[in-house]
Amino acid sequence: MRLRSKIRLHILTGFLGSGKSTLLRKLLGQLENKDAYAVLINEYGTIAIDHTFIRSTIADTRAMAGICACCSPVDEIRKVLLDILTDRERRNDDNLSDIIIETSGISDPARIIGTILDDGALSEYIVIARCITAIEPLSDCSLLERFPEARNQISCADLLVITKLDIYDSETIRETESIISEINPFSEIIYSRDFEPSILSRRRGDIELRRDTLPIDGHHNSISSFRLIFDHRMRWSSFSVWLTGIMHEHGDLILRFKGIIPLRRPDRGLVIQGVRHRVYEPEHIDIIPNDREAFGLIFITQGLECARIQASLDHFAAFLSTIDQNELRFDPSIIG
Amino acid sequence: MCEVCAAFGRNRHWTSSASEDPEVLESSDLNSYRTERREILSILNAMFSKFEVYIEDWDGESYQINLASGVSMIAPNLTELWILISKSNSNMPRFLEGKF
Repeated sequence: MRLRSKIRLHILTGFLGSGKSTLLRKLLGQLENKDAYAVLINEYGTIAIDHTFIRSTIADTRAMAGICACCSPVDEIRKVLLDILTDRERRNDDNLSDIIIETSGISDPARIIGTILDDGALSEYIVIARCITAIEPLSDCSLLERFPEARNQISCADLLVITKLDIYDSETIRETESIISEINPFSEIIYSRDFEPSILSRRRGDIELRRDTLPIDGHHNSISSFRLIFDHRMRWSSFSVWLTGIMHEHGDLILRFKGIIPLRRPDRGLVIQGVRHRVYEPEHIDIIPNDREAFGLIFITQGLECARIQASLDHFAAFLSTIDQNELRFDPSIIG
Repeated sequence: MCEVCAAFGRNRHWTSSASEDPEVLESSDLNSYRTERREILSILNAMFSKFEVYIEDWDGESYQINLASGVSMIAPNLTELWILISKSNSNMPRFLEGKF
């Protein structure tokens, strides 16, 4: 039984100069119950500056300077988050509901997500809400080609916020939308003027996998996004062996995956989402019974084409059919 | 914690979440968890038989990996299982190449 609800952690990321701090300041200024929020700011430089602006708004603001949150994940981020949790316990504070981390401009959010998901203590008290990525309009892909960090930040995002709308013309902004939605078809895209506190209460994971709304096998440079078709007779047990195996081999190339997997009960499905080697805690949802179109798994990969992943899964399914079916049909209820 | 052997359980791993539907009472669904474990072990052993690795259930939630050399290791979940076996220099199935 849980006496206190989990704290929601929002990761705010974006490349150097993309306008993260401006977004954060605007957001914090609009919050009503400021005591419910703690802010953690990671700056790339050795002297932290940004947090002093923020501290005037949110009392619990902590800075990490001279280190990169994603490069020293175990020590620093973990330590600061545990400090926040310990303080909450010490003060017997039931107010704190959200923590916002502003990453440095060259952070890899996947590693921060991994730090939390892999840590038993942190994942007990903290749930990752959404990864929010600020993006300055792009007239072409040269920034993304030069800086893998910027690509990773886009592919990890659950919400992409296009900033600096006053500087760029509408054509560049439209082009940006098309580039980023090709790299990350999962993410919601909004403009910075619509970035307001209510977005913090929205959930990650409301996904719709209808075939007609899916980008199938779109690709941008070496990044591809595609939908995997799987045999609906494949069970979760077999599927989890395949997925953990392929992630072990090629997790670095799987930037994101997201999908709904069928379960034994025809009216329930499992939403599963991952960022590289890490997988978020899956969620059970209601589905329309026997609606096969609802199921599927979308991948965003780098240098790993749809056909190879599909072939791997097909080979695996063929391999499963060679295993003695009596073994797989074992039913423990018969031994009571 | 298992009260008989006093082994502390690790955190739940995402691969066991299919049988953790909050809409379904855990006690009524224990059999699907057991069935899943059994299925996973059957698949793993079918894959690893040619590499002389044998995998057993350990404590109802971990995997005991037995190598031909006589070395045994405990992996708390499937993710760690692949890591431990690859570190042991055993041959492994190759997922992307479809060699199982």
